[in-house]
Amino acid sequence: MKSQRRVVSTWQLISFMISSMIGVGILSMPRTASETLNEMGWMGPIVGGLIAMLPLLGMVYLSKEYPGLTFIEYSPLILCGEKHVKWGKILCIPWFFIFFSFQFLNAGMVARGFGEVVVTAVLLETPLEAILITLFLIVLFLCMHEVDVLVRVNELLFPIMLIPVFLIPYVSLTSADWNNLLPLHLDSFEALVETGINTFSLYTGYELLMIFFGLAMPGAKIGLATWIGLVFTVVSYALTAVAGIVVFGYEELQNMIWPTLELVKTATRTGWFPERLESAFLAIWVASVFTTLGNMFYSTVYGIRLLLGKSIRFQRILSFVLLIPLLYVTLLPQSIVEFFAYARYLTYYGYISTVLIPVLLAIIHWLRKKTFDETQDSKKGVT
Amino acid sequence: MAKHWCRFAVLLVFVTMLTGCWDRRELEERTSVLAVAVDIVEGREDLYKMTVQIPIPIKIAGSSGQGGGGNSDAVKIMSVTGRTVTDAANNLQLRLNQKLFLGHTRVLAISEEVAKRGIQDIMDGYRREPQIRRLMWPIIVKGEAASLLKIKPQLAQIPVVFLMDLIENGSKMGTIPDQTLGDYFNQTSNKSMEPFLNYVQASESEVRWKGIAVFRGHKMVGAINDIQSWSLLQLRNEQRGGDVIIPLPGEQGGFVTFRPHFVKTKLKLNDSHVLGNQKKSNPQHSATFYCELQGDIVEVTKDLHIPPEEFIKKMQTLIKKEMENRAKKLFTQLQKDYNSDILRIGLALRAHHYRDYWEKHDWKKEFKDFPVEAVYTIKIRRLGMEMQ
Repeated sequence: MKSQRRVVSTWQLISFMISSMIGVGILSMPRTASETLNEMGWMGPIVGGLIAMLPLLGMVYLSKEYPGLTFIEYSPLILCGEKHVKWGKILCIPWFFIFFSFQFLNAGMVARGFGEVVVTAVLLETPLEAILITLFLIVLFLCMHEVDVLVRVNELLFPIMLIPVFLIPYVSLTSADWNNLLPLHLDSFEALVETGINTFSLYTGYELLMIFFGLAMPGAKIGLATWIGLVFTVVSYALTAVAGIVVFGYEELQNMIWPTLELVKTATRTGWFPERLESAFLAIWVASVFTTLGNMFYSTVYGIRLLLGKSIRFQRILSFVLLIPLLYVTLLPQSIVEFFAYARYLTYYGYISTVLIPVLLAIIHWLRKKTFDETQDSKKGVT
Repeated sequence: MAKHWCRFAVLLVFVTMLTGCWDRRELEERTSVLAVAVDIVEGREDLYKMTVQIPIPIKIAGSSGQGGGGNSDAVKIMSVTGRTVTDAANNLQLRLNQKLFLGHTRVLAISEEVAKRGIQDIMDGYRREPQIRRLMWPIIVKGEAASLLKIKPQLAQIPVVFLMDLIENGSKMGTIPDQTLGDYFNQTSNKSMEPFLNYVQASESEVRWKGIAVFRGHKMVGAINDIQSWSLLQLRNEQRGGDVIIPLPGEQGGFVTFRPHFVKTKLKLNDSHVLGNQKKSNPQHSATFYCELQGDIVEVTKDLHIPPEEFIKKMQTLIKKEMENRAKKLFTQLQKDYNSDILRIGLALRAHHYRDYWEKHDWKKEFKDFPVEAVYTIKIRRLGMEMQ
């Protein structure tokens, strides 16, 4: 039974990871990154990536130790060993709750962020709900299917998503002033750490791999996929930040709500056949946001299904039931300012489930293994 | 069977959603504004007068075979007042049958009087409005801004198109800076530089580029003429500027015209301890533009009767001297008269001398007395179709 579900290839892991991470955050990222770091803002995403490295190390380690198992299955094993799985499951309930609630809330914020962009920039008269419900209906449709469909969708949309990620820095080169990027100096280390901690929210989404590593094909290169995915994401974020800073200067970035979108709007130079690139950009961006939102929501539903050991029918019903509160979560922030504040709180909440617990689990497992090995050794010594 | 029905229902929902025509508005259902002019209402200091130019599609020749006769009919010009620019736009909407659409606006004309009072309040609305392009051109108009929209150029049916072509071709030729709204926003936000905009004058039927309006913050402080603007273009943007016409020394009524083709500018920032004049503890910073102009002689009105080799040398020194004088005049104007760093020296200083200069000085105050000079290198390549 368990070998049947191991369907995800290395390439699918990469595309899944990248499209889970790159979402709506990139649209406001040049501003948030350069808020305190000024012209050194591009360091923010790099530090954020370094923070993400730690839990990823733990996750890769754990899934090598428990091949073919998702975190839902191996967390109890780590905590209480194979003899007391039931106790382990009970102990893990708060951890699962934190994980799933974060995914759920984060999915809501991603959807809201995208809705806000569309409503403020392109479809001014459209109510936010109309955009959200459309998006949710497609996600619901996705949730009607098994995991292999989800990863295939990610694989399919991944190349489309690549276009803007590299096009933005490229087209903005024409209006760049490289002096905006200088001087290279760090005035305060705290500012760097603070920005890193805040921009870390751009990377949330990788923690879903705790489920999908367990679904990887036997022989899939988990480590390789992880590091390629992370490096790619860090590079594309850093490039976007650099593009924003060289085109606008960090002072102007602070005045813009979606700097990356403005970048696309200004980048339309003569000689480019599309005059209004931002509509095309947003159209492509729907795919990117859809994968982020879809992956998060799907993983929540799928994780609960695994936890309870139910079938696809349960997943279908649950996804429909959960979408209704999701809409409420999405509409919770009353204004755009409140939205950014909520998103920031959520980042701090996310640290528990995306950094703290994976690392803790890895350490616990490592300690247990060590003590276990030692007892084995001492036993050997006795005999 | 139930499954089929379910699928059908889902499909139906998607089809209705995916049309995406929530706020659909056909092209003919909007009033596209090509240009906006902002003036002060005479006698009412608290009001803005907004003038817009709206093209009439059916009157534009070739659009529907009817052809347009007089080109003055191709556009409609409407004026309206309001306490803010948006208020004026709303008042204008009350007089229009279709929805006002600013997505195609290419020119924002602002009268000198308004610019001198400061245009931050005008720009705020345009910053927030998503329809407004950052590639739009704000232009400062001498006298009444609305006069720029009322010109009848005859060479183009729509006056704004004429104006756009004027700027676009000018910036292609390197004689007019391509200064967009986005540039203006960036420059006002940036703490190390000041913004500038194109400065034009409009008469009954024509428009003329007059140079550059220099700003300090959001307020216009003055203008520099076309000759100084070309020096600025060479030093700041590496654009070639216009032809240089110099009276020949010693020859009554003789002129030589030099046409630059390629410009290469390097801004060098020095601290004086490199030069060795002062103590290291108190380094005096200075900026030098090294500008290399390559170009041709296109006109010499008097024969000088000297061998070609000597002629080239003589002309190069003559042009060099003239260009450096022009640059010096530009610096004096910017520093002493306007105290506005539109040359981007501050940006370079911040980038390269952050610790030893930028942190210790207030650039907004220091720029006035900052030593700046320009050193030109003139390379005459050709003499046109003549031998001398």
